[in-house]
Amino acid sequence: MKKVIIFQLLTCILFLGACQEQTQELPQPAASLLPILPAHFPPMPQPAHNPMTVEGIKLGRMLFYDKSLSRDGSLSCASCHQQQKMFADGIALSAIGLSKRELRRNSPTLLNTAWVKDLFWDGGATNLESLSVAPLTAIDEMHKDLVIMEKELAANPVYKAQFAKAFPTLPKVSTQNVLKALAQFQRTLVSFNSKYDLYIQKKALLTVSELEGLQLVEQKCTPCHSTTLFTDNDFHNNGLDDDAAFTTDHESITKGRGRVTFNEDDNGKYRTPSLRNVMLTAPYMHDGRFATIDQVLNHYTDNVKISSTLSPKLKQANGSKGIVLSLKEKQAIISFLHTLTDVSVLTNPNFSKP
Amino acid sequence: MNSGLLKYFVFSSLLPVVLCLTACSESAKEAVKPQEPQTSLVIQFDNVAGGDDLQLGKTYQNGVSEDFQIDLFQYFISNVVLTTKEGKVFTVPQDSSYFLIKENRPATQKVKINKVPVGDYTQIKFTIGIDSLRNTADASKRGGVLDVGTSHEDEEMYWDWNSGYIFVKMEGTSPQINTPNRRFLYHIGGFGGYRSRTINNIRTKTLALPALATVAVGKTPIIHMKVDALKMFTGKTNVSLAANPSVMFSNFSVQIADNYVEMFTIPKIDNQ
Repeated sequence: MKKVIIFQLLTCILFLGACQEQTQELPQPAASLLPILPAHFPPMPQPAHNPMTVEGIKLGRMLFYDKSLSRDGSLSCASCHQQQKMFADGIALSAIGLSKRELRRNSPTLLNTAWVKDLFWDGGATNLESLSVAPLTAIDEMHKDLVIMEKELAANPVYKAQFAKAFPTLPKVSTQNVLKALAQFQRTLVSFNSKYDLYIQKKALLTVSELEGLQLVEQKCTPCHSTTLFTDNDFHNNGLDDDAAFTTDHESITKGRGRVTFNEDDNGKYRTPSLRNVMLTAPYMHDGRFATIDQVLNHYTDNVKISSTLSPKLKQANGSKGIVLSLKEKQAIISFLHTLTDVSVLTNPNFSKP
Repeated sequence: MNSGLLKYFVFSSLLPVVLCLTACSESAKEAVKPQEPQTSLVIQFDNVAGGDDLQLGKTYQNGVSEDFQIDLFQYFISNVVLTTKEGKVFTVPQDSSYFLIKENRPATQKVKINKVPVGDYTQIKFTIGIDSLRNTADASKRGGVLDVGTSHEDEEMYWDWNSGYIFVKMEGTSPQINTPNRRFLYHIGGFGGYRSRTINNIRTKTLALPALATVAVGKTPIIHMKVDALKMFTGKTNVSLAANPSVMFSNFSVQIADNYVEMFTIPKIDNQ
């Protein structure tokens, strides 16, 4: 690793040397904070316009944990994305927002968000930088007036200095830079230290039951929950509701993906959540309707509802719906799902409140 | 070195290079910048209601005889293109071609376009709203008026649940609206969809100038752009506020976009 860093520094110095008029100090690339992904992980996509830097990530982390980003100072991003709860909140539908009204979506984990193309449960946000506007301003969430947020942050000398360090080419306390910094920090929230990962790296063995569970997941839960991220980051209708549920109420929120694409064929589809850390991220589904993993598996075996957009994967050749699993197979799947738990996340000092 | 590390190595080694190169080219550009005299042009937006200056809170009537008051009216203008009498086209550099005009903030109604080539201009073309590329661009490409933090929450021009800009926003009240607060909310946007085709309310407007707008050193012409707010409800189709108190991201919004394209006229040019 050291060699890599030295090489980076050299290349940078070389190019800086060729560029005499360059006076501004560039932020240090975030090599020291970027996780070194294991070989079986896909490379982390990063937008060219917002490369991760040490100072940018540091700023993002300060903002992520700062309650002054909510209207009355009661909430930070971490209120609903808690490190000790795998960056989710463990609640079906939170009502701790400024309006105290129950939200219509479950707070998803932020782990491995860097790989998600279309964010939110319905994919309405096309990049992480754009997404954070929503929780910051929504009246049922942090309900902050962004003009006021900018003023408050600019009046804080610690923030002012950190914005300058993080964004030296445009050293402004702006919402634009708030969003960029928050996105940089969120991209560092990765999880790849589970027992399963050790198994793939041939550093651990799985039990007979865990192995059986892995095979069952590969046979019956893919391609939606395909390895290595255990999600295809695509949108599917997994049979939670029937067609009558897809209405235009509340800006068509029950249409899921369909309300974003305006395509009836996408009604009832939601982004596949990862199975990683699934045993610590109950409750489940976009509205948190299932409190336990048993309920989830029972849904797939017994309770899938027919609708016009139901995933073909949940229709059997003989016309029956859902997935066929015996009780023993369900137990094996659950024992495998436990191997996807990465407890290092819970205590990773780089993720915690600064 | 295994493949994962190699990928990381390549990526992380290139990153500083790209950073440095970007910085280099920018400073190099600065160095060769020619010392040209500044020539510019002003577009003065004047929001009106029919023949009168628009007044927030004043009662107006739409095409179906409903009374209403407007309390918020604002819109994006972008991608301005000017044409001279010889047919030479000047496209305002895109990064400085986004303007948010707000009725309650007079300073926003005067738009100055700098570095306009000397010439006699006869035509202006512009987009009402924001092009699809900027709508979906990363936040870094969305500074200035496109930065959502530049507007207080009631003046916000952005949908965050389905990322995209609101192009034209009008809010107010009408006694004919049968809801407790009698408010109407017209938030019109929609750039055509990111991964699949959705509503496209981007409209472009081309207007011939009523006289030559002469841009020269020391001569900054003012294009007076009249924007008739009533056309929101009458432009092509008569719209009833009682029947449509809230128009946002829905198929009906297309009719409003077809209406608001009719708002813009240029009654006069001031050459000075």
